[in-house]
Amino acid sequence: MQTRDDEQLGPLDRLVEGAVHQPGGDPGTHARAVELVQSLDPFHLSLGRKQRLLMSLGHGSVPRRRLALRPILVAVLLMGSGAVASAALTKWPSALLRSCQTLVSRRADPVPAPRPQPVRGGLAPAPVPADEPIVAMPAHAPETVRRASTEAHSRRPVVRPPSEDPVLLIQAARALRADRDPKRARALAARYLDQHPRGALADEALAISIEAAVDHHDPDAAALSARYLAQFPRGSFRALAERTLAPPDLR
Amino acid sequence: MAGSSVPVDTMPPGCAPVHPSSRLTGRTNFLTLYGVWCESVLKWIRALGIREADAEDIAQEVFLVASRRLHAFDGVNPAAWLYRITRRQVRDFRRRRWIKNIFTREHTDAVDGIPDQTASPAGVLERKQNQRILFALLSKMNVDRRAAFVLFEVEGLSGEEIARVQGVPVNTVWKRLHVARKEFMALVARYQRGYDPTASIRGRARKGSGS
Repeated sequence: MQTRDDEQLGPLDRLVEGAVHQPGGDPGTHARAVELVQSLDPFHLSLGRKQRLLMSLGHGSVPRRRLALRPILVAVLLMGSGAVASAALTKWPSALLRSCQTLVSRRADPVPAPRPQPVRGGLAPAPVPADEPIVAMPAHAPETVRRASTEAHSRRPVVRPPSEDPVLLIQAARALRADRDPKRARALAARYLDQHPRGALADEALAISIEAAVDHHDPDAAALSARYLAQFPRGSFRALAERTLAPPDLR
Repeated sequence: MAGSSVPVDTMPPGCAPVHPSSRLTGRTNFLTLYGVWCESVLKWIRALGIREADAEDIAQEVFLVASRRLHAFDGVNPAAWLYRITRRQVRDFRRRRWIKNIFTREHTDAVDGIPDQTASPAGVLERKQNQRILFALLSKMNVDRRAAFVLFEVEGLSGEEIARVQGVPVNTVWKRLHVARKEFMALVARYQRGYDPTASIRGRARKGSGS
């Protein structure tokens, strides 16, 4: 469809063929424009160049676009950006950093951490109830604690945080059983509980405290038992706590 | 274009005509297409603003695409069909080059053909400088207007021939040419007032080299 503009804009003369410059235009600009246009010759294709181009087409020397690589490239880009987004939005990088720091600090510290000493059989421990805690630590695995209790249905060792040291509890158990020193045992257990109120061995520490309080005839044995039952209603040493709370004739 | 032949009336000037009744197929048909339109494709590539050094690569791509799609071509207007392919390939080439230039230096000093032995060194230099300015000015223009302008002013095609190539009405071509000339004159005037159209290209190249 022809518009008014199209009607007004009719055929043109070429610049190089002497097209007159615009009425309001600069003759110098017009001359410069002609000079610029004239600097470019009409394109001419030599026969040799044409043949060379045809040969390259015939032999397929022009690399075809590798379309098959595109999905792979896109997939790699998507996975990479997903990983970056995941790293930015979740906490795993900080967890990774923490574990690296732990590893580095362990390597940097040549002095081995004190290993918990196992309770030896020759120390003649006092008779304990059937559900007495076993706080003995295997020498080859100081960072794992095995509970011989009904709570530990699986035999999977409990991994405690590296900062938590069971030495206090072992010393408390030794003081209670071997040295017959319930006061010291209670103090050590209390120290452990102060340091690790929610530690992996908190119920054991509380149980040792109860036992030491009973041995020492402390009046707060019942309070400790009540605290134990409140804190660990299904704990391994529930029986000990209930027995302590029971009237003396029923014990 | 299974069975279709290249129409005579759309042949570029100076090309040996193929008889319309001849039904060419397959490889022969492609060779005919190539023989007739190779020069025109290279002209269009230059008109679309691509340097000589890259023109052959794009022409190869164009004819590879043409050979792959020849069976689907209806044979009505091979000029417009090839021009569309060329235009797309030039666009893709520019995108690829843009990405490539992020990492590598853009070469602005490409060898433009064999030097003219008859001209003086100063004349050759001046001519090359004028060509650089011309390409830089043309690069500021719209692609279709620039192509029409170069095909008309430099290659000497008529308005009707450009209309057939670009697949548009003749009036549209004249309109494009009028606007293109106006733009070109304005750019030349701006250049004469001190504007350097090649500065941005040189700046990009310098940035790419890190110097």
